Amino acid sequence: MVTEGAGAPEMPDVPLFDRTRALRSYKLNKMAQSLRNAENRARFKADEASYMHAAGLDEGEISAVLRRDWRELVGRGGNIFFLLKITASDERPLPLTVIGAHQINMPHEEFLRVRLGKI
Amino acid sequence: MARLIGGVGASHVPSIYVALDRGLRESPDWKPFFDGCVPCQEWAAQEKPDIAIVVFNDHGNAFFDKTPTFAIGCADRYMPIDEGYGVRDISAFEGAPELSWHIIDRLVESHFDPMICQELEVDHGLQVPMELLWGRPEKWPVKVVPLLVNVIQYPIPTPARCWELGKALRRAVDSYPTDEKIVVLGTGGLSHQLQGGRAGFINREADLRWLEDIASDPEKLRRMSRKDYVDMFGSEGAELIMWLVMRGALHETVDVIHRHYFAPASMTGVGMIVMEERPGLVNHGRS
Repeated sequence: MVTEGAGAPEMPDVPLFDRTRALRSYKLNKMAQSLRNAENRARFKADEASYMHAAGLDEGEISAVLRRDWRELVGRGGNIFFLLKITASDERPLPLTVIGAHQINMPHEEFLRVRLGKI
Repeated sequence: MARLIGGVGASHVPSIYVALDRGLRESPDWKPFFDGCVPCQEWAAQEKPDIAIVVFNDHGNAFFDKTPTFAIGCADRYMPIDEGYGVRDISAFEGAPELSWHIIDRLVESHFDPMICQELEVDHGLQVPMELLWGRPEKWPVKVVPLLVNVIQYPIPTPARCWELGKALRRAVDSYPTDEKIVVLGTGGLSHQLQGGRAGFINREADLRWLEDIASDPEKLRRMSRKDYVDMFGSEGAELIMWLVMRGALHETVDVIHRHYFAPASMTGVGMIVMEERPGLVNHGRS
């Protein structure tokens, strides 16, 4: 299944962070990881698109980040541990379960029940 | 000589500290988990180790473009790192650089070649297990030796390699010429997958079996492949190979002091185990 966004690759069931994915998404992950730094977060928040252009991301990646399209970002080779720093920089960081549910296009409550077995 | 008093396996899920930060200790979602950790805390308080060797992984915080398969901190202190949410308000961790350097020396002689980190900031991978055992003291009652394992950027080390590292680590501890008491913490897990089409995968049966086997049949776990770990515990749950470093450092026969499991904590099956060796048994790490 492919979501919106030209060239967005398919979401694998088990996206191990191997050589292929690490190379394909190096700039995306590096940009996300840079948000570990408070000054970078401030610059990112001031103008996300400029920050990402400067980091060398392509238009598809930039669009996916701006839309906070976690499914597409993971599909493109983004790794969750780096991607989390994008939501961490937001006013209201998303719980991990919301990002999990989004990746598989499942409503959050259903995700909690069906996947995580929450009663 | 230094004495290894036991091994602890513990999850390091960040939602655990978030729950504590938000005062959710007694909430229905979290109370069963935190209550189950109390006997482990009591054990730690009673045994009073001087140094904790904490086996954990960095989550894209201290390392990004450089990925050491194994790394050891040998600093005087380790500050909590900003993971993107701001630096957490918890105490810095006091290091045990003499032991760190001793371990590095002995490991290299054993043909393990860890990255040597003279400065290091530590993320939730080390913080959470420390908080699970010792709460949030102004000053941590133990010094730490951070031992980092790459479990994110493939190729990650094999389970067998982690096990062998544990054996070499034990020889290092046994040859350390002080009277200090040392505990090894293997952290991470249990089953979880945070990304991909299988996001939200939790395997309770496998987790419960793991908590049995890690004590009574670790050889089985050591012989499994990395793919076995991913299949059984999820792509992120495969980090359980870090427990093998801890378990490899212990005698083949151990007594389980406490064992605890809870799921889900956020997206993860979480567990804790405390194991001690029986007095008088010669440990296999020397052989």
